[in-house]
Amino acid sequence: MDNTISIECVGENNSIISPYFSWTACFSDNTEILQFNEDNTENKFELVKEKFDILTEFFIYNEELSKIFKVDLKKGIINFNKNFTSYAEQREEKKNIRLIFFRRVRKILNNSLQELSKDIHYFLGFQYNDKNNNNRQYILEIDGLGNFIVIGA
Amino acid sequence: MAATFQWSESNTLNETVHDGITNLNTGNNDSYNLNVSTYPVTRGNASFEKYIRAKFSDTFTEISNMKFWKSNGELVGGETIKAAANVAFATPSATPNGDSNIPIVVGSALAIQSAAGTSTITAPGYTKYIRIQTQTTGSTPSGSVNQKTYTFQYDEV
Repeated sequence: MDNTISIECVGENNSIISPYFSWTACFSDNTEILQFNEDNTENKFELVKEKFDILTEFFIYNEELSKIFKVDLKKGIINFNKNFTSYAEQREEKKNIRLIFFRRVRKILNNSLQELSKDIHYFLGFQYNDKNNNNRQYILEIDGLGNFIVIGA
Repeated sequence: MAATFQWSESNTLNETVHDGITNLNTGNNDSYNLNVSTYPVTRGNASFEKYIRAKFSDTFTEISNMKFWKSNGELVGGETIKAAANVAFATPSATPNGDSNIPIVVGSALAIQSAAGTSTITAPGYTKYIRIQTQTTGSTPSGSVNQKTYTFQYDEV
């Protein structure tokens, strides 16, 4: 079984080195920013925020799980896995589409500060303005195994 | 997007900082990594207040939505745990304070601020202090109380 995931936004494949979901951002100037560089150094998400106005696609992926999510910020669509089946159809005109992305860390500790569990959920999606200029959101909450639910639509 | 954090406790009049503490035990002494066998809370009295805070480091852009609550650990009769968020440090005292009972669900969790008093942390550093105190009454049974479980939650990019 082929467990590799390739991301092609400027014509190159990116190796995946994090056990958690990692991200890649693609921009309209044909550049990209990977969370992890080839030397394993990490880029801050701040670098993506600095180019938010030209951000076109944003991926999070986990090679071990063979799971990948993509937010298309030109169409306002969230895609899942290799076939990129759409889970948020373009039903209406979306203006001013902006990425939503963060991860929620929950650490459960006993008195001795031993970590009884560590739960990480990723929140991924976008917000936009509809034809009446109302702000609307589509957000997936994704657990560490890649299971997800829609929490905002 | 991989912040790490450790707990830090400050003690004494001089606000002596101890990063990387290894327990949150409360007791009859103003000290970090406290041994409850050596410094038990005497029935009917309160523990010394404990001033703790989270210290974030490593690679992150922003930490927000920080919450802290007691998620498990049944209290015995007459035992209460008081807690307050975002307090200024003061010399820890064993006088029972008037803080509220520590929240036990995420919905009412303590909302923790950065050391600067903002809702987000954008550079390595501390949160504001959380003050914790165990209070007992004459009806509190002697012996060990139950282990407590605490949850700390935050959003990160």
